[in-house]
Amino acid sequence: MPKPMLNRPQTQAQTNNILSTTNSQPKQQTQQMNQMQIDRLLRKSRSKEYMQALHQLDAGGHVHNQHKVDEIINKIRSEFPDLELTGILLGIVSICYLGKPYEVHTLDITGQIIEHYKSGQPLPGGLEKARSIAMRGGYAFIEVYVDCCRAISSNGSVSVIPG
Amino acid sequence: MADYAISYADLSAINSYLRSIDHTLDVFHNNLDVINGRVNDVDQNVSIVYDRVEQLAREFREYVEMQTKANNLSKAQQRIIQIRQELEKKFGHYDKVRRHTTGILQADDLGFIRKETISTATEELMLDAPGYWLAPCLVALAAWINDQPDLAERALREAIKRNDEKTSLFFTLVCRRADRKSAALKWTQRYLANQDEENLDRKTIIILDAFASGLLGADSEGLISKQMGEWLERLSEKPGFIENQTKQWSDAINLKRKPLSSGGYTYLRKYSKTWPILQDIMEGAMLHAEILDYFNAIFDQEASTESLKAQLDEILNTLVTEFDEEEIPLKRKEKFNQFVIDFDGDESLAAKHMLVEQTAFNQHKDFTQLLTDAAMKPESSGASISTQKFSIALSKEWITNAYNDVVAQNRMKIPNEIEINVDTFNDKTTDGQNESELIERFNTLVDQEQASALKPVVLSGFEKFCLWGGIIIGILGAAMAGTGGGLLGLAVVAAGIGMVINHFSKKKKVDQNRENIKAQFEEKRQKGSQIIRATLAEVVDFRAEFAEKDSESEKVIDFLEQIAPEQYVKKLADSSRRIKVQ
Repeated sequence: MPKPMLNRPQTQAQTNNILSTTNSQPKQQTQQMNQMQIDRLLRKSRSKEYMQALHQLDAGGHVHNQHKVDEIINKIRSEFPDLELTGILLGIVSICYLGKPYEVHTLDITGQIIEHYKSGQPLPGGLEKARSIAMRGGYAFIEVYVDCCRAISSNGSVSVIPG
Repeated sequence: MADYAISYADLSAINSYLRSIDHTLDVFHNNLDVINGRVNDVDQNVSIVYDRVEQLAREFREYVEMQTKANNLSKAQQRIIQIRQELEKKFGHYDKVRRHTTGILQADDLGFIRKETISTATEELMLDAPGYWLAPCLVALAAWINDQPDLAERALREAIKRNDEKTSLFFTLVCRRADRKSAALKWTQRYLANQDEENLDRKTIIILDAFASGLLGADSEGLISKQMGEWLERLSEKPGFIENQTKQWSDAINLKRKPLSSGGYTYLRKYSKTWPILQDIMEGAMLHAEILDYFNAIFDQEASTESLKAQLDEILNTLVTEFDEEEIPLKRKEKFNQFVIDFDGDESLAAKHMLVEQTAFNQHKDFTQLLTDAAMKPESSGASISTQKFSIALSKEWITNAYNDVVAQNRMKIPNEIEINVDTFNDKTTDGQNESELIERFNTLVDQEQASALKPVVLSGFEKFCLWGGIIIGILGAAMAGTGGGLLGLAVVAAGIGMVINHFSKKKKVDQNRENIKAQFEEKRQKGSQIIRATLAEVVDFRAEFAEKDSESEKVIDFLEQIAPEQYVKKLADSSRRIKVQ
């Protein structure tokens, strides 16, 4: 079983998800911004603040603090102010430096949970596809989307892997 | 009674009639043959008539065609005279302007015509050719040669008013010939500003090539780079443009992939089902060195500008000698009629040649296609080294994006676990570090298999019984013989001995078989362990080599990052004309 570093009650996650403040947003977004514009926006290099925030995912004790997790998710949201990520971004996967038996950790955007996974434990919610590249690709972390993965280098540059 | 009557009847008359009928039939047949022969004759005659009619028709058609061609030729000859007269009447002075322009350019090159002569000649032509763009250009050129800046400026304003694009191109080329690079560059910018970035013609492509080669001066004020920036900005706003560019570059980069050589990693090739993936990612990682070499080869190469200078002069020559827009309808008619004359009145052949003539110089490209072709397909695009450098510099962002994607897509395929498949042993390793675990598991497997193999190789119940059974029977037989059993006792003894011998014989065989099985499994253990160790060693090597090759992608990215397009374009005319890339 995954090691829950921080877990919120399901109901709270659903009602108090900062990335889905209103249910109508994805629909509005589709109308306002087409796929090409979304892709172009997500191709832009990530900011230093964003990189620092995501780096904290694996930074030990303070991730037990829900407030810190909220901060990280807020940072992700503020990186793309014009974009509603719910329904697009599934989560973030990166290599885990806690040491064996842990391999990777994930940030589940919908559930707002940070979890660490051991070798052999499958990642839930479509995040498994990013496991290998997170471990061996040398990227800072992998953003997992519905239709692709975006590998983010430590300098913030973005590489797109369809599928 | 009746029979008797018939036997005596006289049948000779009937026979005679029958013979007569037979003869008549023969005659009839003969006649039919004759008729057939005649019908065949008629048929042949009809064929001959048809052939002759066909020949006649052909000759007639040829005659008509010849006559038509002759008429066409005659009409074309008449028409061409009329067209030329009309051209002479309407645009004869244009030709004069063209001849003078060529003459002045040559005279200026040679430097032995008096300035006053040039000046007088051009001013007259200005009056003769109202509306023609080249006339004020000629005046401006003469004024420039005669050091009359006011007149030159006024004439230039008029020339630009008449045809901005052609005037700009003309002075770009003239300034280039005169080695006035700063002016040439300003005119180039003006010329390029008149172009449609989605539809660049051959002339523009050559001008860009000349600019990239530094023949039009150093872009110290960033005029041209600003123009390019505007083009790229406008193109980038088009839906799907950036995506298409990234895709095009990804494809072009992937085309440089080379297959892995058949040597090396002999154990992984043979004892790992993961090998096809490993081979694929290694080829992907080796691409980085290929790409780096490719870019380095381009940027290390010195450009030659001689052929380009000749092409620029050719454009200038075409520009001052080609007909103007107003003349085009008449010139086209003239060309067509000339073709009709050249092909002896064959209008369809003339039309085909007109089409070829029109499309030969009608190659258009959009700006980014020009960049991609020049950078990645220099052989087919005919781009110079300078244009390749310039194209790579300008496309840097797209190349970087595409390259990052190619690298990430290759890394996505890196297997975390590598299979090891030795005979019946199937296991996995991540980095080849779990040797002792694997060997232990392998030994366990071999032990299990050996035990399974040995299990049936044992003495049967009867064979086991033979030992003690034989002894007891032997003793009983001996007792029988001793108590007067005689021969029967001896026979029982012999049977007992036989059973004992059978036991030892079977036991020996079973022991031998068991030894053989053990030896086989020991061999498997030895060889298998050796293969596992060797495969694990190759996994270590593979991971190390992959990491090394894969890390070279950083060099490509660094290389691309250090190419500053503006700096590159500005420094083009520097003596070295090379971009600093470490």
